[in-house]
Amino acid sequence: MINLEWALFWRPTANRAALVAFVLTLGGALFSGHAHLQRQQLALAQVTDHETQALAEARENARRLDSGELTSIGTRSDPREAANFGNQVMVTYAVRPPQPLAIASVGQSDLHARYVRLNLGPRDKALGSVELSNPEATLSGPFDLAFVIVYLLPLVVIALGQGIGASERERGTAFLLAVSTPQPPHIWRQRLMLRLGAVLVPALAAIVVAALMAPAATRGASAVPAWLLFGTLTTIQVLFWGGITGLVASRARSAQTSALQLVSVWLLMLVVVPAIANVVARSVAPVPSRAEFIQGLRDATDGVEARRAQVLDRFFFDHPELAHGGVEANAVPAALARLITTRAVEAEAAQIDARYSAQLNRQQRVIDAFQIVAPPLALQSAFDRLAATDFAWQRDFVAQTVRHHDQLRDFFEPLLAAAGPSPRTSTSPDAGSLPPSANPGARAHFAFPRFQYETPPALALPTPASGLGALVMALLGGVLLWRMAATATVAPRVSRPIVPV
Amino acid sequence: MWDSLIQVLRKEATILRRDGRAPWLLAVLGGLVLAAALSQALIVRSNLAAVDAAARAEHSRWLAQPEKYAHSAAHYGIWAFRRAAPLSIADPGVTAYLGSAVWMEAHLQNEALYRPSQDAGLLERFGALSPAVVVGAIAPLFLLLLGYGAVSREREQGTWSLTRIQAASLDSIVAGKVLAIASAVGVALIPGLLVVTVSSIVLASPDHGLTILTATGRVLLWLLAVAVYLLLISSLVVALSSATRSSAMALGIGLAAWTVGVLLMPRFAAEAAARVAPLQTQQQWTLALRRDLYDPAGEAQLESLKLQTLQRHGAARVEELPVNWVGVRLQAGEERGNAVFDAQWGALFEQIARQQTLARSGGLASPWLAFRSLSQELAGSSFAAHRDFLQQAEVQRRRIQRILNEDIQGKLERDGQRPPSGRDVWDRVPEFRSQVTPLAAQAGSWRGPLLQLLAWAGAAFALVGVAARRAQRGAAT
Repeated sequence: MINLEWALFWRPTANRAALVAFVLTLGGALFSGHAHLQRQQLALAQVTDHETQALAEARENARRLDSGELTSIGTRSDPREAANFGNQVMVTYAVRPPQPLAIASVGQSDLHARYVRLNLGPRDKALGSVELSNPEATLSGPFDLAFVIVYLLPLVVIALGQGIGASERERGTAFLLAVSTPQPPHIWRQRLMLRLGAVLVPALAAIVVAALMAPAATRGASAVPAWLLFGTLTTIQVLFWGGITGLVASRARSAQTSALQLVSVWLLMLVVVPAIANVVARSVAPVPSRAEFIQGLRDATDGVEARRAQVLDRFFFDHPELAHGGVEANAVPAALARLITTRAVEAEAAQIDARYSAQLNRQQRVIDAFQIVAPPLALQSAFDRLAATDFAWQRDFVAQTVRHHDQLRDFFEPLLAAAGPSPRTSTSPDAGSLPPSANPGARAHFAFPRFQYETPPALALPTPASGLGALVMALLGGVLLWRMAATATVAPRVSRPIVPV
Repeated sequence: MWDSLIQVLRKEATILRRDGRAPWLLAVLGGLVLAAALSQALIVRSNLAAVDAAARAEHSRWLAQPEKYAHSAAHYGIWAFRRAAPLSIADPGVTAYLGSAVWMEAHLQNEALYRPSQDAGLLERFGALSPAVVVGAIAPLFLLLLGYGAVSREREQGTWSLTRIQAASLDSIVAGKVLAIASAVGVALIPGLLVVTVSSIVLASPDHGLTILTATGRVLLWLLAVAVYLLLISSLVVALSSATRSSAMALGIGLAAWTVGVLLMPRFAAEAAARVAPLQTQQQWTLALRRDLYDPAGEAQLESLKLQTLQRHGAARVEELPVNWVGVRLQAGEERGNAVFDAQWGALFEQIARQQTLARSGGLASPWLAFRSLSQELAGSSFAAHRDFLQQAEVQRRRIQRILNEDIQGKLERDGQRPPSGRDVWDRVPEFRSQVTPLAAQAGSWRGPLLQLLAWAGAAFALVGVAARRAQRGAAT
């Protein structure tokens, strides 16, 4: 029976072409996902090299200045001074390494910074900087495994399954099958299952290949559950579209009608409902323009500058141990004063930024609600979460970066306080090189804290909304396939008689 | 000819009316484009209000600075905000993936920050619709669903062979079928396109280089592109219907072609272009910029300038100069930096433009890509438009630095005290108003996609004629 069905499936050129095209597309998606990952890794390797080289160069320059081999160095470039080092010379990055499944779903990772260069200055610009890209390529979206599974796999299922019952009825052979055992609906279900298997096997094979192609550093036992979940979700997707195809194809008047109805369902699920979700989310919780944020930031900067003395007083009230040279504004080392005011501005900016976060959280709640009625949305969301390429992972990275930046500044504050007041402001164009520090502890700043990325365990699994969406898909797909026999129509649903030939 | 064309149109319209699916399909399509247009109009209006308010506040903030050293004002800086082009209601293009504001300060040409896509999460990639996407990517599917049986069904029913003995010419019959499908979809799109037209014209601002007349011209050109696109896709659908043995086959091939042309080609073209002409990483670019910017040769150049200035004024020390040497030095530093920025930013933009040109060549294989590129250019939401904005901001930045440095040059330091500047200097800095670049000045960006679209239209119109003739001959034998 299976041999016969396989022969029936494989004979039409259209079926073979659809399957071959699907396999080629999966291959292309693997290649493309791998290329994305390689580019990310290249950038991260460059960043790491830069950090290492810059520190080695700083140490070497400090040694040469000490020994007299080097008698002068560029403006604010003397690495022996903590202020120069922290503001100009230090090269340190917060880096988010790719996770094992990044090869399978690019998600939103190409829209955000994967590494952030930090120094003692403001961090808002560094956090907003993104890898160079061709914006039209970004607009087109990534060509990855997740895209193929979410968008194209349903079309392949539809292409292979739309005629399972209707074509028999159109030819009139359904009547002949009606007297056979098993009955036509059961035969159609087996036929559909065979076709679903033909789609699922290459998809799962592609996932296995992706797991093997993942960077060596991310491979290992810990990645296996995520890959298994990815494969399970793919199976659910096949089951879901198989169920819908089975329901429509076993009842449709003709193969054409079946195809039309199925394409309409695809359009509804992949385009219309997500578009409605998009419009509703943006209307319910519009994110203000960043122009407003910039103005808030400027107001905060001006306000802190106007309250500079109070801000410094407040700081030294909290940190009396750092008031070595007195707490008057002109007695505070310039670099320390600048750091204190920058942190005060950022504390106010964080409150403004919270408005954006709150709106984004509200948008996410709307999207979560839609995931139950738009399963592809749930699937894409789950894939991105598993691949660590969604917005939540990015926000966690930013939060870790901000925490580390605060630690870095905490580390430098006593070092800056130990230096004497600077005669020039930072904007001095002709400050020249500062004299070598006599403070023997000045090199302590070379041991500045480094960023250590911590994988957030809370983001290891898809969100409950995605999980619920996937459950709905699995149940619906399973039930539809199970009930296919009961809902199928054997007789032709046309008014004119069809005479079996 | 015209009578028979109208007759055919009437007949095809009747068939569409009788087809129970057509009203539903057209209602869904019309609803999508209307929702996209209204949503985009609100977004653009809100963007313009926020950006204009921020730009005014920024200029007021600049003018309200207390007396201070002019170079401190240079570092205080001003933000330049990118205004959404009014026609981005029709097509927001790539604006979500580009920074929306540039900080203009001394010594540095900064990158544009705050990309809207960074504040969007999953929504940016899923379900983001604009009228251009509905027209360009979704409408072809509806045209296919409405028209795949235009000829093949007649052949299956045996009525196609009658066309040989009808008074109406084959050309009229085919043109009538094409027009019927295209106009059915066109009518469904009217409410949405009306919103696009009215909103784009209402939001035009002469202060920013877009008068009501030029905005209307752009909208009309965009609508013309939409009309050509719908006609060419309708022609391809009817050609397919004529060339295939059955309606089912026409539908199958059409769906496969739509999948490849709309879903796969843009991604494939972008990936292929990225392989052929890869961009350097941000890290590489930044390091190269810093290397050139802080090249030790710069110090030597400044030293040479100092000697020339001293000689010119017959002075032995900078303190004896009739001009403030700090101002001269700052401006020289700016000009040296400007040359580096022109080279490095220029090289980067060329790399992106090269990759974009390669990716856009995919428009030869997908009319959607050709339409998408042309639509962005007409809407002023393309990378070329963004590049223009960045250049305008950079011109403004350099103007500010020149004004401030010239002011410093003219004020000598007394007792080591830096001379302060005040409102009279701040007033010399004009308010920044980004200007929409006229289409004529951007011909290099839209000429390629336009030619691609016209080539597609020519090929589609020729193809539908040939296919229909072959179908007629086939039906007769």
